[in-house]
Amino acid sequence: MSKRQLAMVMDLNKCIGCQTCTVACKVQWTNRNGRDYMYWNNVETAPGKGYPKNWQESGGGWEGSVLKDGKIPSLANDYGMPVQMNYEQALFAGTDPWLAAANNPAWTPNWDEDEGAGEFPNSHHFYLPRICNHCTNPACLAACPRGAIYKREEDGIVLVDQSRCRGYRHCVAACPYKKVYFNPLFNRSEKCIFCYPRVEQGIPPACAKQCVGRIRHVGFLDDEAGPVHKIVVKWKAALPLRPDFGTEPNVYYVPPLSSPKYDAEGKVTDESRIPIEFLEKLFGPRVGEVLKLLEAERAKKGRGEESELMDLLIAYRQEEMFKIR
Amino acid sequence: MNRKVGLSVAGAAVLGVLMGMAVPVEGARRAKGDPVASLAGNGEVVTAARVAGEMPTEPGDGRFENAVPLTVRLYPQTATEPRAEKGVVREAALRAIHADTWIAFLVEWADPDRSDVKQGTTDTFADAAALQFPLKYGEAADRLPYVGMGEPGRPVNIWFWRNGGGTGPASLRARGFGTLEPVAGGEVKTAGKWENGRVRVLFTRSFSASSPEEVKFAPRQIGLVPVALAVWGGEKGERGGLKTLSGWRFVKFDGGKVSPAYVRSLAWNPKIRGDAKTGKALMTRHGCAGCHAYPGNPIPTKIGPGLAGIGGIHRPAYLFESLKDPSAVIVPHGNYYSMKDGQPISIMAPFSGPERDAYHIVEFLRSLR
Repeated sequence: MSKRQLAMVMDLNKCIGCQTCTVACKVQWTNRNGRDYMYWNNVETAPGKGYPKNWQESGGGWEGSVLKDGKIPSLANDYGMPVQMNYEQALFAGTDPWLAAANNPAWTPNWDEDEGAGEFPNSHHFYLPRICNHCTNPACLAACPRGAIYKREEDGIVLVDQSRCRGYRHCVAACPYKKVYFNPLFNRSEKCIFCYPRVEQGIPPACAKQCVGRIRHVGFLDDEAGPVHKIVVKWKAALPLRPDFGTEPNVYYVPPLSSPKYDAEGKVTDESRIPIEFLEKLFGPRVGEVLKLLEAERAKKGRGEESELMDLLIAYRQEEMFKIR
Repeated sequence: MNRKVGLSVAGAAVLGVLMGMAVPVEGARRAKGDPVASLAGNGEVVTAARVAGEMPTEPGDGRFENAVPLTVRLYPQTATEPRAEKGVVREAALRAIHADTWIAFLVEWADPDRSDVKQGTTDTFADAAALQFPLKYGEAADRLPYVGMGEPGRPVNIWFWRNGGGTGPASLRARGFGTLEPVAGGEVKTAGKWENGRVRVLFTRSFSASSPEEVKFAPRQIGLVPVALAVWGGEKGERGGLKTLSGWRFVKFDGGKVSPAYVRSLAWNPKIRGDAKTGKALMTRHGCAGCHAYPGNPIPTKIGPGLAGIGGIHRPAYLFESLKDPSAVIVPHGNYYSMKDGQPISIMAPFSGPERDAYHIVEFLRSLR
């Protein structure tokens, strides 16, 4: 276990699914050299199969102190081949149909974007941005027979030592979030590095810094003056994703409040559209309690009263969302 | 091949009966003229035929027809995690040829399901093969390194081929599971070919090594070099520790020098002849079955290394040592040891039962192959 842990909070009530984080990450790290298919940061629609396809059912993680078997996703069927468009033809030769995929993809990131679940008018979805969770008990690290994965003492960032990795992919199978990716060009596994070269200079990870919705806070869990400590530890308003996987993630989510359901006459009811069971599966049993807290604090703010939690989540000043030193 | 082994064992047994006492099988053969006869009789020696000309560049080189192949049994790696429960390739043929300045090996096995590195995939693995040599051998070496990629203090040099390449230099060094690293400036060359359901892989290098981390060959000084084999069936997901491996075998150079003392150091000379059946019963009585998985043990335990195939992978002297002094070689897996005064200590207690029982147990372990 590392001495300190740098962590991220993502407020799902503010994510608009614009993928600015995805693009920031991709441009910075994964737009070349065998990484083209990788999304160290992705934003998927929940409910949905996600990226890679059905990652929540792909195994890995812990059963007590024993690693569970996991599967290695396939590029064509689970991640999705980067789609090639017929730009040359469409734009210069004027084919019909006009613009189309030149290959025949079976799956891609965001294949099921905005589909969600439920029947109109009670359909629902929210966006779920995902990066490596830089877990306290990383299954990827435990699964590597070469000790090529390590967790940094000073900030808990989990990294794959590229000089030790021999591309066996036990880490890919072991990560229940499927956030370790195999680079077929270099025969090595790679993953989100929490933008450690930026962090070391006091600059937040690109996904967080570029987020136009101001949903991402970054700070040390034990730093009482930092936003992450306040939201996660003091207010207990953010929860890890799929805590049942046993890896103790260090990305925390402020769970999404739900619109109410309509009844048959079109009247608004007290029931929420996103089933609580669905949220409990994603964020654990405390999610209902957190949603009540959010509602109460939001009501306070609505009445013109003070709410430290709401002020934190509103994030009036972007620089106050990050405290990484 | 199997027939040959069967005959020699039977012959040794007859000798033992004639002498009417607990005579070690290998020891009985020592009296013969050829110092490596005992090893050869156990099917452990491949003779490197002397040929002329340049180093071969492809597996189909006709000069390998001058070499008598040694059939090498391969066993699933079950000593450390992850364990190869079944193993894909269970037998390979090893041939060797040499000239004045170079040596070449040909490893061949049946593989109906060729597995390449498929370009741009994330979930496929390629077939691969490796040869392993102790960095130090001969009379200067106190004993052979642990056959599973060496051990601290007894490093090995590994020559690695993977179908489709892409894994960096072919020459690697290791001193235990998980320690594999490329040798800088190594000059091993490999070439593989899949044809008619068989894979043939060529490994070549000059006698002299350009790096001190590579094995050297000097047949005029030591004409008998330990070698071990590993093969990966890529189509079944084998890679890294998921593989099949052989025990130590020996390359004998045509016309090379072999000192009888060196060969003697490789032999197993038990003080008491053990009995495998008695040994099997003792495995339960002495508690071995509680931690080690092996055929016939109903306990599905992974506390200690698996013992399936251990008699084929390890030499009896090593098995005996492991029993009496488990900390002498510790398989590098976190669950197998604890640290004491900065030194790893095996969690297995040294065998403290009667000496006779230890020999019975070793005899049982030898039968696991």
